[in-house]
Order: sequence, then structure tokens, then C-alpha cells
Amino acid sequence: MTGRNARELNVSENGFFFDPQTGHTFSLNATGALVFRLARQGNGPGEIAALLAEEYDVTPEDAAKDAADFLMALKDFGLLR
Amino acid sequence: MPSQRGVSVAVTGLIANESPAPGVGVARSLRAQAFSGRITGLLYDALEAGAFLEGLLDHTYIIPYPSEGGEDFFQRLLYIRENSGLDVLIPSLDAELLPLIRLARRLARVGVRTFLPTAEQFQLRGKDRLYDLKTRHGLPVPRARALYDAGAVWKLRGEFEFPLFVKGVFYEAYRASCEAEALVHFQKLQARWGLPVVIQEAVDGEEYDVAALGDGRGGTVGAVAMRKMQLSDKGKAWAGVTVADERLIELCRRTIAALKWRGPLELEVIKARRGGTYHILEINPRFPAWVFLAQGAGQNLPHACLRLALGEKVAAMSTYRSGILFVRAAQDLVCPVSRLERISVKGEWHAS
Repeated sequence: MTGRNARELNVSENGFFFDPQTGHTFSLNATGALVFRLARQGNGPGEIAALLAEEYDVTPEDAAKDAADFLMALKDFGLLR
Repeated sequence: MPSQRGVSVAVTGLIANESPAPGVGVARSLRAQAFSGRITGLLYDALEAGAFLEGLLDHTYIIPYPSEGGEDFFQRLLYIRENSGLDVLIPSLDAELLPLIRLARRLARVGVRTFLPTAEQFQLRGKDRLYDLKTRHGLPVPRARALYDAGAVWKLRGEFEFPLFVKGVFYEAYRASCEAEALVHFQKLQARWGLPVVIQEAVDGEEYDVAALGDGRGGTVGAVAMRKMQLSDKGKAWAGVTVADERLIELCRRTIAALKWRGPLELEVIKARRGGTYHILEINPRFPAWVFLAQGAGQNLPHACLRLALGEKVAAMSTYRSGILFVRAAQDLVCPVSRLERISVKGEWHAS
């Protein structure tokens, strides 16, 4: 029995994961799963946006906005501090 | 782990309709523990579906309701003990518990053991007295008041905000947005379950549930928490997943300690959307219908209850696996009508 810690949330290959504290389940697409993993590895919004812009065909501005929106959503669900 | 070879256990609450009772979950949990004794189903109605599940019960008996001193009920249990054996009784229905608690010593004298709270403990957690746990023990319980006449509904505003919940003293709860709605629910619940009808402040949030077992001295033998993932039309958990939130388990431990609860317990809890604090909505004096999930997660609470009833020592269970899911399925059980005949006409059925 442990308290909340985002690092305990293991995303499956399919992008599915379970929060053992709240009992919520989540499904992420490939991009979402990548951003979530990067955030959990300690990368900040700027680093994540740069990696997204490198990986996908998006402008750095779009990548920065999308990354910020998604990180905010993860925080709203209590999945990131 | 002792096998309880030759022990006969009886369970009640084998209703498995859209508002299922815990009996099937209790019996399945015992079977899952490789229990080598016999399990008897006690029915108040011949069509309680748990009686028709193959491989679950060794014996099935119709019993009278244990009201008015419970003499007929007591005599029926003596008959059952004589014919099929009866060493332990694990009751599962709120409405039968108080009369059974009053019969417990008499039952023990004829060799039928139970593991139940005292009448006082039972009444302390009643819906009509639940709010006292906040004032007396500091437990987080939404404001509530027991009403004894319908006219009191019109005086609620000021003390309560609408919407609020109107609850039957044993079962059922309805949300009311205004006095007129509350009055309709009051009259329906009064007709079905009697007085009082309980008014409870509504807390907006997510529902969690804890199945637990108290040792009667303030200690928790085991506790498993789950989040309700799907509800039936009657608001019953139809799917759920075990969670590992120490705050929730600690709340259950505090409740059991405050009541010095002895026996099975279900803690219905809501996690407030604002602030994430837990509030106790109900404390039910029996296992929940989903108790089979607890053994799946690593704590076989019904089996521990059986061992305690037999006077065995049971070590406290402090861990279980989170992320274990249950999904309830309705299925048709098919059997010759002669089985129903034996239950309804002869009042008993035996597997072999």
C-alpha cells in the first residue's frame, strides 16, 4: 500500500495504464504515451516540445502548445505533480 | 491454514438480482479457499438465484424471517443442524441482523456459532445514528438527520442544502432536489422500510467502498478498498477495481476502532470532487455483495470470519493487490423444475 507517485504508473505497450490509488484507468495514443513517459523521466515542457517537434511533422510552436495542454491535462487528473 | 474439515457453514442473502445480497460472494469465497466443509444456503424465497448455482451449496433450506423473538427461526436452525449439520452461521442481510444478534447466545448454546457485533455496536452505525460518529469520534460523516414524520421535510431548508439524499432505514437512497421530491421519497421509504427516514447531505464526488472485518476489540482483521466503476440502475456496484489508498484503509481502521466492531463490515465512502477528502456515507453491518473481489485481491475475509467464529486465531491482513477488477455478469441458470419444487414444497434441497 503506497501513496501517490507518478512513477508507479506503468504504461503498457498499448498505452493503457491504471492509477492504483484512485482506481482510474487511462488509454493514451502513441503520442500521449510518449509525452507521459518523457514527463515521468523528468523532462520539462520545453524539452518535451523539442522532442515532439523532432519526432513528428509539427512546428515547434504547435509542439509547445500541444505539450503544454497535455501536461496540464495530466496534472488535472493528478497523474503528474 | 486449517481446512475446517467437516465444518458446516450456513449463509443467508443468496438473492442475485439487480440488487444482489452478499451470500453468493461469501459462499464463493469459502469455496475459493479450498474449504472442505459443507455450505448450506438459507433462503427466505425459493427463487433466490444463488441456490441454483451448480457446485456452490451442499444444502438449501427455506427459513422463516427471524422476527418476534425468532422462535420459528431458531427451531428451523435446530432442524437444519440435526439433518445437515450447522456449526457456523454467516448472515448477510441488514434486516435480519439485529434479531440474529439477539439470538446469538442461544444459538451458541446449541453449537451454532456466529461472529457478530453487539446490538449496541450494530445500532451505533445505523443510518439514523451515523452522524453521531462525527460528533463523538470525529469521523468524516456528511450531515444527516432522522425524520419521524413527513411534515419535517418542509423544515429541512436552512439546515440542509438541496439536493440531498433521502434514505430508507435499511435500504435504498434517493436524491431529492426540493421538498416536494423529498416528500415523495419519504413516503415511499416509510412504506417499505418503516421509520425513521434519514436525510443526508449530498457530497459530490466518486464512490469507493471498503469490505472489512473487525475483531471486536477495535482491531481490523482485514480491509480491501475498491472504486466503483459501473453502477446498476439501483446504484449497486456492477464493476469495480481494488485501489491502494492508505487514507481510505486508515479511515476504515479508525471506524472499526471507534465502534470496536466485531464481524463483517462494508464502508461506503465518497471522495469529494473538491478537496479529495473521504466522507463515510454508510456503514453496513455485513460483507458487501462484491466481497469475492477481496479474496481475489489477497484477503479472504469470509474465510477469516469463519475461522474467527470457530474461535481460531487469525493474523491481521494488511496488504492486498491493487488493480484487481470485478465485473458482474447476469447469466441464466437452467435446471429441472423439480429442484424448485423441492425447495418450495419440501423447503429443502440437497446436492447429493
